[in-house]
Amino acid sequence: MRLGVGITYSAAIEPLLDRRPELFDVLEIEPQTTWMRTPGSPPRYIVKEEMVRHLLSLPGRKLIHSVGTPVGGSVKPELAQLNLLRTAIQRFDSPWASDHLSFNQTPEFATGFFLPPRQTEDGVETVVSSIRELRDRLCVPVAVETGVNYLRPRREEQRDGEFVRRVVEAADCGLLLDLHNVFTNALNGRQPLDEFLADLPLERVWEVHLAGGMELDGFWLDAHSGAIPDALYAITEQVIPMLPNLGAIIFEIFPSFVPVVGLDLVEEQVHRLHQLWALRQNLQAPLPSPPPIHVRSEDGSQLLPEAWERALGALVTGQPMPGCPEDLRQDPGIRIVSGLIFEFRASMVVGTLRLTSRLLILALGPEAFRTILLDYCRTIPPQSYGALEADAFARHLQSLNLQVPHLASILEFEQATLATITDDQTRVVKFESEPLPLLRALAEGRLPTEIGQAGEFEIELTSGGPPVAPGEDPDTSEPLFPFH
Amino acid sequence: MAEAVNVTLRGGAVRLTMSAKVASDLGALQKGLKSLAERLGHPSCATGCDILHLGMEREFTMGGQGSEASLNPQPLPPREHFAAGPRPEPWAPVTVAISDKVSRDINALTRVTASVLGKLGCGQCCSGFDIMFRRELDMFTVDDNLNVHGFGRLG
Repeated sequence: MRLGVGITYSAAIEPLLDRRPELFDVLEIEPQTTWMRTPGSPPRYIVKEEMVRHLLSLPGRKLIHSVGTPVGGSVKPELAQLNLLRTAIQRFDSPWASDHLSFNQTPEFATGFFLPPRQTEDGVETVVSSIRELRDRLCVPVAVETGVNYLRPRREEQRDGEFVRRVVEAADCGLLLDLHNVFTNALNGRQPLDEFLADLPLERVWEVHLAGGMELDGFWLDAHSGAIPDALYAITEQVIPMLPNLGAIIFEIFPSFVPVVGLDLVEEQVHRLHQLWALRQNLQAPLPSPPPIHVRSEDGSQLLPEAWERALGALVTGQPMPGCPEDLRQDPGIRIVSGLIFEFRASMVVGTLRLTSRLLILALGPEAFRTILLDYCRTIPPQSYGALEADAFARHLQSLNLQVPHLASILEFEQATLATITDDQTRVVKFESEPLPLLRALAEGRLPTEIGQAGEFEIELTSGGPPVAPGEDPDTSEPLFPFH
Repeated sequence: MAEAVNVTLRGGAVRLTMSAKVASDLGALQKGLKSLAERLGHPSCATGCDILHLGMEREFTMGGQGSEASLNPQPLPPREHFAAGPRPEPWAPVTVAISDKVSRDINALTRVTASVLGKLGCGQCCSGFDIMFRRELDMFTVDDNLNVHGFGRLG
């Protein structure tokens, strides 16, 4: 099915969707980013119907790209999540669904990051089994996305391209070719891009992802941080005519970067994607057959997929892992991935507990706050959902018993806010002094300059948005109580 | 009447009511509190309102006799008038509504919900770098006297 050009949905790009809806043939929805998961076990997921209806109202066909059921590991996705995913596919009428040829979960903990699968024969079997199971549950064709790998190539593993080919041919599935991912891998010393593409069965490519990146500590990062690099765009111009079954080209940008680069740049990139889409008119003959596939296992030190996932997951999250292969421990990619995971987790904390974070930064200083976060990340493994990360960090803060004025009440206020958003239950938070000076100051990024009046104060948090009376003309209505 | 933030008096406590969506969105929270301060006539003081002032509003709502009275008549009675407590018991709630314009803005923004869920949900597909933490830290600088200040930018 030919869908056309689109973008990965986030709230940050909505003004552009409003302004230029005609630019978007398709919107890629990552459904888990719009779900909530409550703490505790068994997991309980919450999908807000208002959000589903809102997404349905946005321009373009909808394409479901899962970020919670990756197929690159041995840990199977939760049934509850698979059921929700299938419902999302049906509600959005997605012609196919995709997830990542990576893993983000060990039997013990989430990794907080997509990590590369074990690229061996055992790894192929593990991944193929996961893809088949996913396809059976979702009832639509499934495509798998080529992932990022910041590690050095390993002698005992298959080439990146041949591993992908083995997987998609054995599983008989589609391929989501993320060209910025493989561009990143090539720049960081893995398989050159042309060789990678020569390994792939290009007729299986249903979808292409493009994005921008950035350099950090000698690594090129798949940061989704802005414009598509010119070199990658030039390569893509050559690749598109080789993809006879291409159905969509999607631009990805991470929401945090949108305010930095601006929506005009995003719009410009979408225009460039339309130019790429037009190149499909000039289909070319497929590439020559790839070289024979073999597994290099000269040192015989093959880790089975599950052991690989445990070892890699533990190394990048700082969890104890006795007996971990020394060459893997020494891989420079471990350090960069550990740092990226910290930045993601810290961003989740400041994004969900904003007032608490600001109070800590203002009261203790940025370095002290960073130290608290580092201690937290070393102590508690990553949480897969922002709400869970907020809950875990809040409990960690409470255990520290920091003597920061107002911290307990601000933390309680924000925890109650998140809980009310999650379960729609009204909550009341008590304050021993007037909370308005404190809230207003923190919202403006400063400590309060005056002490709120002592007394009994409460904030009642309600679930609904502010109601608007039916038929009310918002432009003509006047305030009910004209004070002063 | 749209109301994003209400203040009522319930017994001895002053209660501020707001939508959790507003509370979780810095821009909406900042806007709502600023509007409340302006409506209450104390835009320069960060509190936006004063408990004694609210006590006066409460008294005049009941008019001491249970009859309706206009809110905030002038001149206001002396503070000592309220020291003795509510007459009659209990004081009726007083609702302070903020500007409709703010409420409408918030209500119109379904994307407030989308933005909140984007933070509470699973992270997006990205193997790179989330700069939100760095941007938050960048908001704060240390002056020559080692005082930390924020620039007051909205998140």
